[in-house]
Amino acid sequence: MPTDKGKLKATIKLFKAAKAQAGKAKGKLGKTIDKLAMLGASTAQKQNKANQNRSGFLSYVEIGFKNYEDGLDSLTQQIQAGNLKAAAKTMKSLEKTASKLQINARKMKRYSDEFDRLEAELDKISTATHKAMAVNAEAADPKGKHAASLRENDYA
Amino acid sequence: MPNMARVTQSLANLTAEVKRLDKAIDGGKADSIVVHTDRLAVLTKAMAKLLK
Repeated sequence: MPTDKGKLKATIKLFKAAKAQAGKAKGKLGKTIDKLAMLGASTAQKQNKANQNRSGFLSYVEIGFKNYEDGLDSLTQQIQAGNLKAAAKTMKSLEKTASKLQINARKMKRYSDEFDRLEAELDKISTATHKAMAVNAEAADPKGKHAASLRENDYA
Repeated sequence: MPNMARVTQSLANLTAEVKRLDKAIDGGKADSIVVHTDRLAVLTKAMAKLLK
């Protein structure tokens, strides 16, 4: 379940920027880096969509739950008053509400799982992109500070 | 005529499950939310059957 919205936004921003620069990376691995950046951008967009859908269905669950709570309050009063005929009617409505709750909760979970799967995919793409950039920078300038810094940060 | 003791017990079960679902929604864990909505649906059906 995503909780860090800041991280999500930063990931999307990073890959969008990388996508905007696609075709500009130089060196032997330039094309690979471009492809990884584009894959990262599209995966981040999919993840963002999954997060929006998850939030949407969570809202439906919250609304359904509030309706169920209200119905349960009525049911409690009817039972305490001994009005079992009215209680039976309320139960019919509560059955429908509970069923909708179940459906929306499952949909929410499906998008939550999708979000987590894409998160793992993004981690792999991000690692591969950084490694490719380090190798590329090293090949272009083996003694350069930039290549050494990338190596230290990413292979540590 | 439904058995009032069973109706009261069933109502208590429903109320307890609603509290658990409320906590699950607050916690935001998708797995827990699904588990408790499933249990609530089962208990709701049982209560409806009892009052028929």
